[in-house]
Amino acid sequence: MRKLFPLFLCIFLLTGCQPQAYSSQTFAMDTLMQFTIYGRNGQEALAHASARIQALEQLFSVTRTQSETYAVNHARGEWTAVSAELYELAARTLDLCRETGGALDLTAYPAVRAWGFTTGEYQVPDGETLKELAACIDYSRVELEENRIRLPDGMELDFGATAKGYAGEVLARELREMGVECAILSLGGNVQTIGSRPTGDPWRVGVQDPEGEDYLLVLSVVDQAVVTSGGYQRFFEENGLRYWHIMDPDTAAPARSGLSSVTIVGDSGTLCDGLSTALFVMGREEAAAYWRAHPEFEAVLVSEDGSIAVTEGLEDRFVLNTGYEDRDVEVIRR
Amino acid sequence: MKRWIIGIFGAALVLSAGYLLLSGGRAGEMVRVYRAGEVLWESPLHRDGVFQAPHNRVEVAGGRVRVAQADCPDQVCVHQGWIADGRVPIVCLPNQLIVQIEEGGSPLDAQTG
Repeated sequence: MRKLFPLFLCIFLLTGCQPQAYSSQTFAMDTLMQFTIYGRNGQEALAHASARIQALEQLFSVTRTQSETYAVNHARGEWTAVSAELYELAARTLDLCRETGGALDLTAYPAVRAWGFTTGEYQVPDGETLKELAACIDYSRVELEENRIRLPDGMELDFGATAKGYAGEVLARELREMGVECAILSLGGNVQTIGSRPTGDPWRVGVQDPEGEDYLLVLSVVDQAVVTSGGYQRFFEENGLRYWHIMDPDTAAPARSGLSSVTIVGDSGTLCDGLSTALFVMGREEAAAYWRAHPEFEAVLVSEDGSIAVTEGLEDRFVLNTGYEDRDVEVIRR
Repeated sequence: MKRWIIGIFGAALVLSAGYLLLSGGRAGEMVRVYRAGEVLWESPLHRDGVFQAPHNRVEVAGGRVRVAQADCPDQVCVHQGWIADGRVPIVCLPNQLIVQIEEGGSPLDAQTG
């Protein structure tokens, strides 16, 4: 009995050392936010995260009439002074628009609205309307200087492609500063991790099968963000054709590049978010070329025929789900 | 005296192991429907049934759950289809509704969406 007591004590202490998990689930930024934070100050960290998200929503919402973005969009071509966060998000989003040659364009909102994605009153605009809309999609006409933003009257900005990624990135930075070492945040499906699972192994992040209800594969993720964009996420059907919410900036119509989803893994949530949209618009070939020229992220591309391509850095970081073992997986190399 | 005690613990172990094995390990999984943070309805996942929330009809069948019908404009909750475990919830944003499977564990920590 005496020999066993130290053993029991060790086991007790070890199990007692597993950090406590704190979770929350709230609606914000037009989506469901699910946060799980581990550690002694988890409750405090959750409260901070919640308050931060509410504050960021006030800046980025394109529909709330009190938001800074709304003010910029209704300034009739005049300069609008904005907060440091909105300025940073605008600057970084514009950088991505430039880098991707306009595959990402933050001025596509009027087109998204014309197709009914903001109201639920879905419709297919006619050719003339699409031409007019496409003519007003042009990120190069957005001007930024000294914490002010200006764009031509009639054009509108929206940060739907980067706001959640940016918010996740800001939260992760601030939570790390608070001493959080393990956390997994889902901002409406935008995943941001801090560290690894409390047990030390990587977080297991699933990627949805665009054609079905199960997950295609699981990615091993440590301290990074993971974001997926796909037509299956928001669409309507008319006359047997499916129309989704990811627009091709050149045509003001749903982008049909042959891809059904793009997943980006990287250190920057903002980058992952913006690129998941841009590469979906680009299609497989152009996306692979873009990745070769930009080493700061990895990607999973799922094509409409069900085939999968992963960039080299993910080769040892994914596992196909049961039932998908026969899927074609190509590794894109540098 | 010692053998008697060991016998009772042994029997308890065998009985609880047997219960877990026979219930297929899914004895605890529950479907819960939330609205604005309140639980509107809950039911064991293995029990087929239908719950009519004010704006959404929730259907449980064969160990899966879905939103079968909704009056929201975008129908995202309906398009999502069936879920069979706790890795993602079904959300109807306009109606502030969350349908999720709980207490069953998950092979994933999160899923992108």
